[in-house]
Amino acid sequence: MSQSVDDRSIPYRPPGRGRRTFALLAGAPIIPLLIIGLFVLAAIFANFLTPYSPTQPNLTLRLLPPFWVEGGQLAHPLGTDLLGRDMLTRIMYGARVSLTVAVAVILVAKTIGVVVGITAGYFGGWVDAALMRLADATLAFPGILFAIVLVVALGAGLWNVVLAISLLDWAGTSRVIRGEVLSLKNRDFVAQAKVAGCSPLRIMAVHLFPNIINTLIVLSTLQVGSVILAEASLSFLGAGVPAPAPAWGQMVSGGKAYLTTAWWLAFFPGMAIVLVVLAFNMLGDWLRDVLDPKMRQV
Amino acid sequence: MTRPILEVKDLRAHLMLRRGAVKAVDGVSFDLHPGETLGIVGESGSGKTMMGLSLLRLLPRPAGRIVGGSVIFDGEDLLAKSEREMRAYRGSRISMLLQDPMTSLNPVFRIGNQVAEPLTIHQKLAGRGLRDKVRELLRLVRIPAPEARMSDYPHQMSGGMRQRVVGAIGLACQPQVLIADEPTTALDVTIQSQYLRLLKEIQQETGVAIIFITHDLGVVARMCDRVAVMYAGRIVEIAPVRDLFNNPQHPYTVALLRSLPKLEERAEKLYAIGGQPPSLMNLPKGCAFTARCGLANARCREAYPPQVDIAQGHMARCWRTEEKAHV
Amino acid sequence: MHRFIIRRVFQALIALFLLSIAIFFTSRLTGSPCDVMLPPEAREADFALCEQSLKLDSPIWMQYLAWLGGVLQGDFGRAFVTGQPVMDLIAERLPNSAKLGVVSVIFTTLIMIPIGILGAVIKGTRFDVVLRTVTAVGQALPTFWLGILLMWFFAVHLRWLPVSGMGSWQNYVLPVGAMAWTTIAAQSRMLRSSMLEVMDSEFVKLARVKGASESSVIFKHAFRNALIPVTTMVGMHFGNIITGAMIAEVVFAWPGIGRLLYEGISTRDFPLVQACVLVVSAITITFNLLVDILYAYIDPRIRYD
Repeated sequence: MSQSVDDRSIPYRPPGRGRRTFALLAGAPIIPLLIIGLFVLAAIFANFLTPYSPTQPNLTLRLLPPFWVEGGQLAHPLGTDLLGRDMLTRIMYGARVSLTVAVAVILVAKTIGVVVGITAGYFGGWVDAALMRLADATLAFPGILFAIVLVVALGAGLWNVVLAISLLDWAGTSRVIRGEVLSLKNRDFVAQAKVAGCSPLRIMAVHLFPNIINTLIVLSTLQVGSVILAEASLSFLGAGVPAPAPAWGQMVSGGKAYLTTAWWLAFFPGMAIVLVVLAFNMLGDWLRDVLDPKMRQV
Repeated sequence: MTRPILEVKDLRAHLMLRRGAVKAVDGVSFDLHPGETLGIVGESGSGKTMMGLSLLRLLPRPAGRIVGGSVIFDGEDLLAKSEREMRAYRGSRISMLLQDPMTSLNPVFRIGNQVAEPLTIHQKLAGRGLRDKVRELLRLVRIPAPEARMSDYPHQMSGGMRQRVVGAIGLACQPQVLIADEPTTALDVTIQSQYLRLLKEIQQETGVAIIFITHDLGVVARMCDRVAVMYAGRIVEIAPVRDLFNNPQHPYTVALLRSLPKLEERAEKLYAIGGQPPSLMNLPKGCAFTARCGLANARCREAYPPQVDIAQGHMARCWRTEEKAHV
Repeated sequence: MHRFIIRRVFQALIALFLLSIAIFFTSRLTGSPCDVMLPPEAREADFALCEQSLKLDSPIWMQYLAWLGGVLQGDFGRAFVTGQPVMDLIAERLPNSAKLGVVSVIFTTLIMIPIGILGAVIKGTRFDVVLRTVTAVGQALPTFWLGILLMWFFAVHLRWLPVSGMGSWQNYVLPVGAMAWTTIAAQSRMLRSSMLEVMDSEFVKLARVKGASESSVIFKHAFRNALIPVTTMVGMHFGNIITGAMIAEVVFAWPGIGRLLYEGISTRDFPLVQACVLVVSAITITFNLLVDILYAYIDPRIRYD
């Protein structure tokens, strides 16, 4: 079938979007973006930003309190841990762990979710029914537990964690994307593409996909927070990214026993989690208002 | 001439938005007599729905606000009532039919329950008496097998049936005034016809006065005794229905009638009124129809035209009509 | 309605079946299942015994059936550290988790509903901003961190409540508080936005037209409709709730199945972990089924699906 007509069929874009988006971008939430920016910078450039090693023990400087407490030093602003490692450094490297896991999970889970969602929505019928049953089955049980089983069976490791958390997430995404595709596929531009002879794959990839990007961005941003919390929970329970890599959840776990004597061990990593998750949630909420208002919070 | 059951004088209602105040209803006055049907005609955005809601003081909160005028119902000014007193009127002495039967019934409650509610609130009926009355109401709106229907949920019924249920709810406490806000717009054409006939019959049986809000002149011709034409939040012409169709005075009314396709005439293009209605936030100083009116002159732009009485019960607000009347 | 229930039960059974297959395969991911099923200090003879009992020389589906048979009879193997049959340990700890869980669910629901409704009713006021900020922060708090902070403040610093363990009603306060916080924050936000959407709908307008009082409009007409999307989400979020429960048990040393699982992780005790996960997952699936049935009760449109 001739493809030349297809080359000129322009994928559908709602009009005036560029101008509207720009106007709304001007009202972007500054504080969440700053917080995220700081943590991303810390994660990427940790090596250059801090002279200390996150893993090398320094037993002479064990359990230093934060600098504003008596006994603290400015050289270690947030104190040191049980093995004399600088807290601020470990938090920065911990950002690397959390954000890496988050990015990896989003890539994996959203890819699966989008593929499944578009396929189910576009083809309908038994394909749709089968895929959605599978998604429902996945949603029915807590993935964290499955992650734990994997870790105990396979041993700890970054990719086990990523895999396990991805399994939690893809089903929700696929449902939302499927919903979008269902409402899009009856529109004229899809019919036009079919008339022009586009293959289903081309329709899904070239015509449908660009129209769900907005929803995808919103979903991804909103998901980062829960992925970070899931990763933190796993590392708190000892089933996360293995030592000696500093993970925030595991740092809190280690600090639990020293609650009365060295409160900063558990406090600051937890604070980091709260700040990052909150920032991403706020950013996600704002993005949803800008890009996809009908996808209200339900 | 009997005393009007409803006298609306210079009603003004605004919607306070962040960008400014939308003058949805901008000085509306009319009378409604017992047993008559008054049609309110206008384009979308002319303020007719807002006007209907204002009569019941149910403007969307928190933006909507009635800012002036009076609504005298059976001798009492509704605008002076407290919210609590108003609630006693709503659904019992003045009632309303909403437009979309698919969304106006609560999806989680049974039909019988929903029809019974105004009876429970206003007439304190209960038990067997309540059930009997509900059944009677469903029969009134010609719903077959009312006993079985009472336990149905809205999604089990068709649009036409649902709208009849809405009618039953509206008429439950035998109101004196029924505000029908485009009750047939969302229905199929054949169902529309049945529904309108039903309303007419019920009106003859119960003597209720109806305010019929619509954009469809055909329905007006069929249902109404008198008609008011609304434009940009104001009434620009009121007349008995015959007079309006035979002798329209306001240019807007004329244009509306012209845009109705007629069977006898052959036309290349259907007539449409050029331009757009003005923004209700930025109403012009003079007559609001000036920009689209073929007869507009300088005075039209300057000042809002006064009421011109053309004949018994026939009024229009237009400078050009005023000139004609003095000739 | 009955057809609906039967269908959902059937779906739940399929989910359980898929779950069992998934768990079955995890023990075979790195080779022989006996590698993970036996403690590190196991001897040759133990291996031989294990391989025999798991029927490792027969085809895979027979192995599955053998395993499934064992599971359904309650044979999950033995724990590494104590050598006790895992089933005994679970039977001992499960009721404790159930107690904590039930209290937590009741508490969450009782608090979540008023906050959600309140949030919708006071929209636009200053209190609304405060409430929304508090719930937004609440959703970002990791349960384990919150638990630790609560423990430090109320148990260590103020000495009002016990630090850990199970005992009198006072022991329930902190774990339930920690667990419930995130869930309350998330669900009340959902309820609030759902209420706002419903309050704008035509049937609410009709309720006002009928002359219904404002409280009737809110609690009778709007609330039940607003619950519908929230109930669907509860099922989806149940995984988070379970995790939260588990973490609370660990932080507060509550002798429940969550803590048992944690102990299994620390000792890499596969039989224990496998059993705990199976049991908890089965409970989750059952709970989801119940939520679905509740959902059908609230929303009559679903019953005739």
